[in-house]
Amino acid sequence: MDAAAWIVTVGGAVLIVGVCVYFLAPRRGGGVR
Amino acid sequence: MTTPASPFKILPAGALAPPGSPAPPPAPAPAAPRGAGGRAAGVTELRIVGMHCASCVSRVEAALAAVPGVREASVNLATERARVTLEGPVPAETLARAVRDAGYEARLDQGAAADQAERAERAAERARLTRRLIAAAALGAPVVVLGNLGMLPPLSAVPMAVQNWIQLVLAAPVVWWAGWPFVRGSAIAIRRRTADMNLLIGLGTLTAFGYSAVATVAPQVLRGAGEAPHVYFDTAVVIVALILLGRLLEARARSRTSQAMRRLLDLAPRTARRVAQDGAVSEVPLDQVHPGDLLLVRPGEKVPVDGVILEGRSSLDRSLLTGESMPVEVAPGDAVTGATLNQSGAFRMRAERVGADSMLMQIVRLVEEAQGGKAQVARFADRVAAVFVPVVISIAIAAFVIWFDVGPAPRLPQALLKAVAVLIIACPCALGLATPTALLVGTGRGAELGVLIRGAQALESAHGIRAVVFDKTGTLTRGRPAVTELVPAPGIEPDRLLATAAAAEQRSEHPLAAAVVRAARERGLTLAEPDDFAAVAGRGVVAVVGGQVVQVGSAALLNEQGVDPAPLDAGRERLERAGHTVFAVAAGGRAIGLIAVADTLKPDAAATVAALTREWLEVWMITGDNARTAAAIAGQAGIAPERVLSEVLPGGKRDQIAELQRRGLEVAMVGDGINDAPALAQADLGIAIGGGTDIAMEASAITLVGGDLAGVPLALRLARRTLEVIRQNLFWAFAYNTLGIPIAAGVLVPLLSPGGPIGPILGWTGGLHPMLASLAMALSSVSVVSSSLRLRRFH
Repeated sequence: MDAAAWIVTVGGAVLIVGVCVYFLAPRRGGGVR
Repeated sequence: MTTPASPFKILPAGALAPPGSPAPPPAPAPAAPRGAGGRAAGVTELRIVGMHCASCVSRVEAALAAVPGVREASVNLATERARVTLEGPVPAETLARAVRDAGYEARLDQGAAADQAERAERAAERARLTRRLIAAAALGAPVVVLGNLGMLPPLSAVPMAVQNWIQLVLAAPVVWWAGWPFVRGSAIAIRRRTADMNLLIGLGTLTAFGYSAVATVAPQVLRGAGEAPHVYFDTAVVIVALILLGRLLEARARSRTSQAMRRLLDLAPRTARRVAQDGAVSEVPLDQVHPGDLLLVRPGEKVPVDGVILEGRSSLDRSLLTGESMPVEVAPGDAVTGATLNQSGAFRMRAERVGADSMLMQIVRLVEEAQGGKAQVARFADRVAAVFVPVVISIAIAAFVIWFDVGPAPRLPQALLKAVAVLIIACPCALGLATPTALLVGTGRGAELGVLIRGAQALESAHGIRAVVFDKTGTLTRGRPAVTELVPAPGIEPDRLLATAAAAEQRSEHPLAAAVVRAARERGLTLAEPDDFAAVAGRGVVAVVGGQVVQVGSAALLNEQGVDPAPLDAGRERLERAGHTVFAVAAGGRAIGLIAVADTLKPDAAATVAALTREWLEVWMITGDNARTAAAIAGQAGIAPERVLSEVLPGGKRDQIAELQRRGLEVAMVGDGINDAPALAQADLGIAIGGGTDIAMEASAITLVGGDLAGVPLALRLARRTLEVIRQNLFWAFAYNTLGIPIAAGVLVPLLSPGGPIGPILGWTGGLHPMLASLAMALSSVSVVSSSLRLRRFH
């Protein structure tokens, strides 16, 4: 894999975790139930 | 009523103030209207616009509580009001800004103005939704036709590029104007960190629109990436139109709930007759009546406020408030409740509890609190979307990464296209149909069966019900007195007893008298016309029938009239113990028998209780009546004695429901009176009996039109069934589209690409084919609609 592929892979993983945490993590005042 | 009997006369305007009655105290300064003017220390109210779930409530509460000077803020979702307790002066604008910063709107108008503004706002909202829906349907229809039939003759004569441009021009206003609530909602959802329906729709429609716009304006970009420039405008417009339809239906349903409160307030009379110290009577607006004021209430008028009778006797019709059809005799010293109807005589009363302290306003408050305090059920689709959206976004990102890393060149556009394809296919068009179609068919079938269901929330509540609580009067019983037993004295024919009593009672307007007359007519008895007639308030009637003096009434009446009621004592005690109201009848100076009158059980009450018990539901009865009457009725209905709640005060019904809920039971309440309204609202599921009061119906989620109790088990079953169908619909709405996700992500491409193990099928190389998107859309819509139509066969 070249450098660009590595960046996309790592960036994508971070994004996926970020999206899931942003929308799914429990927080004060309800949210996902 | 222990006061001595006196034939009642209408009081002259000047005759006043029984000895010892306190002079009216100086009028207290009128309380400042809530929240008017500056927001000094105290309590103020704001109207909050834009909330739609429990987490919205906590966000607004937190935002308001964070404002310096605010001690406490509580927000009611049902009434869309925030109640803010202030420690010191806080400018209204500061509170409003805090709410706005949290992503909601705050309105500062108060009282009647607020009510009007709210009504106007809701009407405007419905009008806006209607306009958007019409536009989406009108502009969207040709897009759907071109998108699905454009490649077939005669439309195929028009070059594809031109067709795409036409679709773009038509679809743009649908997505950006008609679909603006979803676009805006998506932005709000992202800011609030809640993936909801709006975000799912926004994401899907905007991606489909954006991709299609690129394919139309710059098709060479897609061709360069090895993709045919297909457009998905139809996907975008269909979902916008369907979801708008669902929203409009919902807004219509909601506009009716807020009317319960308004109708309650309308019950109170607008004015009262105040008696000045000099005896002059003047009509004053109700808000100028203060505790201690002396008021005159004439026959046929509503009692203006809560208070105590000082002078005069009458009977009060409290049916508006309690559903209890038997009027109550009142005399000096008795408490009366505002908004009840004065029937027979005029009386003077002292105002005691007025305005917010009155019984009526307390009921209003109880309804309000119960509606708002109830855990709001988040909409199904929102809950599904909350998980579905992040998962879909993650899959799209993963598809991008994988195609970028191992896919063929040109890798960036290829990867981008796969990610976009996932987002487009994931958007379930049938989602907009899932709930409204099931609701339409289910509630339509319910209406045919006499069960009116209000909204999806009623269905969800009905699902978990473990206990059913029945109000007694007017719900389990007919709410109308009827003759239940005749006990003639020895040597007297029962028919003669009834005919004599009925003849004497003919001219009385008392409902108990009406019950006697009705019973006599039902038996086909001929009633003699009385030669003379006099009603003795609180006692009964004295009449001359066929030359004989006839007395019908209490034992005390017979005593007063010099007739010995003693021979009838044994029978009277037995009947009274069984909860009946008993008349003694005397003719020609001799007691000739007893007539028992009572409210009777509805014919289907026992069968209904049995049906509910068979379904493992706990059946309870609740009543303000005494334990004796309650036990008698419960026994007939087949309700276990330990599940009878008697002598419950009006506000107490709601507390009793809450108590059952604390024990972990989900409770359905069945009632009809205004006094049931708080309990109906408090219960997880309120079921109002038709023919009852409008307010009870509006505080309830389900109304039984015919007043037929068999509707209760039927309503519960229909609600469960409809909910089941909605859940299945949501499954179908997502199912086909979800199946399409891996295909859109490109898992078939290695197999179907030229040179792969299978090779292209009819030119399809495994990418997101427009046929695939259309097929998923059509299959899920057809599945959902046909699934909903199964409810037509419910019985």
